[in-house]
Amino acid sequence: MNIIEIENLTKRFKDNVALDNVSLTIQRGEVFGLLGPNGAGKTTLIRLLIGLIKPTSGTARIQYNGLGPFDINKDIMEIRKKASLLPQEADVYENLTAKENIMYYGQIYGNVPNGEVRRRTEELIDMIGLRGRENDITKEFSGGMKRKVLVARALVMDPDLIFLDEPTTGIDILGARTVRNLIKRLAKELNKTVILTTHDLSEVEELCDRVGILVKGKLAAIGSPDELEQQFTRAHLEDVFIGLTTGEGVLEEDLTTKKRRGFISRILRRR
Amino acid sequence: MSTVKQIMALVKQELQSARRTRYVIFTFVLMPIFMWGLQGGVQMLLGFVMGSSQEGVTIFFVNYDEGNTTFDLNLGDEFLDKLKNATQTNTSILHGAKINHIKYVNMDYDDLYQKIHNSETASDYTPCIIIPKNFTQVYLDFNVTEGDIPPVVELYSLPGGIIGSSMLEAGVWSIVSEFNIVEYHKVVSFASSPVIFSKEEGAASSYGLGFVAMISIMVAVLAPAPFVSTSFAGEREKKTMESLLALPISRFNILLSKLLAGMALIGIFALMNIAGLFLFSAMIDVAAGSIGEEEYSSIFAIEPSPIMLVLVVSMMLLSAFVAIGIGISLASLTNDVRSAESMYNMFMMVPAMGVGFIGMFGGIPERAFGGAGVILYIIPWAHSISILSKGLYPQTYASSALTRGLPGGGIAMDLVIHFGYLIIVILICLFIASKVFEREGILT
Repeated sequence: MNIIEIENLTKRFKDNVALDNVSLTIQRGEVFGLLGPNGAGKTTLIRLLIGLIKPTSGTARIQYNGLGPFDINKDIMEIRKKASLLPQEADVYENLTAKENIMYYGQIYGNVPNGEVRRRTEELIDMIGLRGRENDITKEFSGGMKRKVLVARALVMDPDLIFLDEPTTGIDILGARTVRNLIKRLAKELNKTVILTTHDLSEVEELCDRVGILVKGKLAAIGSPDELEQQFTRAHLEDVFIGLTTGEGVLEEDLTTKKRRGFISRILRRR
Repeated sequence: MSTVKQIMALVKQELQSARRTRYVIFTFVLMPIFMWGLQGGVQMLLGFVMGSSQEGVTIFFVNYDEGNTTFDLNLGDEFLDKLKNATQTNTSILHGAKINHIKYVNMDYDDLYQKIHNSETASDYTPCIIIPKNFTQVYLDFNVTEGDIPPVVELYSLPGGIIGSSMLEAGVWSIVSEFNIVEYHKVVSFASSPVIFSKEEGAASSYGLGFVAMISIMVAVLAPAPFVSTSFAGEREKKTMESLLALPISRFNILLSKLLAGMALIGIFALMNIAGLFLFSAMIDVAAGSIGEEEYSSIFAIEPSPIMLVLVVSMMLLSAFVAIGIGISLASLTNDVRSAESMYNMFMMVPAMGVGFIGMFGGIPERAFGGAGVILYIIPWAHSISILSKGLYPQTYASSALTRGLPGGGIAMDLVIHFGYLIIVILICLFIASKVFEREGILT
C-alpha cells in the first residue's frame, strides 16, 4: 500500500526549476533512497513533502494507517503529526542536555502526555547508546554524538514517516552502524517508512528497498538497486548514478523487449 | 490545550537555554543594577550641569522691584543681569537656559500667581522667578541681628524634567547666594515652590523622574538585543531552525512563543530595574549625607511610589515589546547572530538614546516642544516616557496636554493616545515579523 503518492510535483525558485514534474509513489514500510548530485532537488522534495516550502504546481498525498490521505497543499499539520525530519544540516540546542533536546521535540507534538514522552526518550537514549551522557549539556558532545541525539529526537514521537537527510554524515563507523541498524529495524520490524538521502552508495545498497535518482530536478530513474543495475547494465549502482548524473549516457536495455538503445559514449566498469 | 502546551514547551526551552547563557545573567539581571549603580556613582563623583532641551529652557522673570531712587539701585535688575550671565557661563548650572523677562512684565502679581497655580495654564507661566516690589528696599533695611525678615526671591516651577527641575533651583540659589553679604548682615531668602496640584505628590526631584525615564527606556530597548538575535538569527546560524519549522506547530505560534519568552525575560529585567532604582536612590542619599551637598540629593533622588513603580514596569514592558517586535523582523532577515545584533543596535540605539536624553530633560510632554515634537512622537518610546510623566503628574501636565483644546481633551485622552499608539506599533511589528518569518527564504 502506498504511503506517499507524488503527482507532477514542481518547485520553481525564481528562474531556477528545483524540481521538475516529479511523480512517484512510496510504499508503506519501505526504505526509499533519494540519490542525486548536489542541487538535484532531493532536499527540495523532502521540504515539499514536510511542508517547509509550497509547491509551484502538482501535489502529493500522504496516507497513514487509518488516517488520511492528506494533501501537502492543505493538510500539512496533519502530515507533520506522524512524520519527522532530520535535515542534512541540523544541530542540537547546545544549552540543553541530550535528554532535554529529545524531550523538547516530544513536547512540541503537544497531544502526548509528558510521561509517555519521557518513556520514549529513555528508550531512545538506550537505543542510540547515550546512556550515561543523557544529562550532559550537548555543547560538550562530539559531532557524532550530536548526530545520535538528532536521530533520537527525530524518532521521539514514533512517527510513521521519517525523512532522513544524510543521517550518517559526520558519525564514526560504529555510530553509523548503529544508525543503519536502527533504520533497518524501523522499516522491517516497526513498519516505518523511511525516505533517506545519502551520498554513500553502500548505504543505499544496504538499506534501501528502492532508489530514486534525481538529476537537475527530474526523476531520472527509479527502482531497486538491482533493478537499476540491470536496467542500465551496470555491475554497480554507482556506475548507474555517475552515468546518469554526468550525462555521459548509459546503456539502456528494455528488459522486456531486450532492445538496445545504443547511445553509449563511455562505459565504466568495476569488477 | 494542545497549542498552549506546545507554546509552553517552546517558552520553557527558550528560558532554559537563556538561563544557561552568560549574556542573560549579565543583561537581564546585572545590567540594570550596574547601570543604576554607575549613574549613582558618576553623579556622586562628578555632579551635573543643567543642560537645555533642544528648544532651550525658558525661564520667565518678572521684576516688580521698585528699587531705591536715593541710591539709584534696583536689585531686581541686578538679579536679572546675574541670571543672564549665568546662562552664558559654561560652568554655571544654568548654562543654556533662556530668560524671558518681557512676556509677563505687565501682569500684576496676583494675576500672575493665579495663572501659575492654575493647572490649565501653569506650563505657560513656569518656571517663573518673581522679584517682589519692595525687594531692594527690604534688602537695604534688613539687618539679621535685629530679626528682620529678609527680602525674598520667589521661584515657581512644575515638577517634570528640567523645566521644573531642582537643577534650576540650585542654579538660582547660587545667584541668590551672591547677594548674601553676611558680614554686613545682608541676606536674601529664596523661596522655591514647586507648583503642586491636589492629589499629586510633589516630586522629591523631577530631574530624578527624567533620569528614571531615560535609564528605563534605554535599557528596555537595548537589553533584548542578545536574546532576539540568538533566538532568531541564532537558530538559523546554528542550524536548528529547519527541524523546528518541520514540527506540527505553526510558524506564528513559534514566533509567539519566542516573543513570550522574551517578555518573561524583560519582566525579570524590569524587576531588577526597580531594584537598581532603589540602589540609586540609596547611593544619592549616602552621597548627599557624606558631602553635605543636600541639593544633590534633592536634584537626583527618586522616591519610588507604588504608582511610579507600576508605571515604570508598564513602560518598560511596552517599550521592550515594541523593541522585540522590531528586532524579530530584523533578526529574521539575517543569517547570524552578530549581524542580527548589529542591525538591532543600529536601528534601536539612536532613537532610544535620543528619546531617553530628551525625556530626561523633560522635553517630551511639553507642548512647547513644537514641530520637533511631531518627529519625536513617531518614535514609539517617546510615548512610553509620556505615559510615565503624565501618569504620575496628570495635573502638572494638564496644561501641556497634546489634546488640550479638543472636545474631551486632556491628560486622560493623551494617555489613551499614547497607549494606543504603542499597541498599534506592537501589532504592526508582529504582523511584519510574522510575514518575514513565514518566508520560504528563512530556511536558506
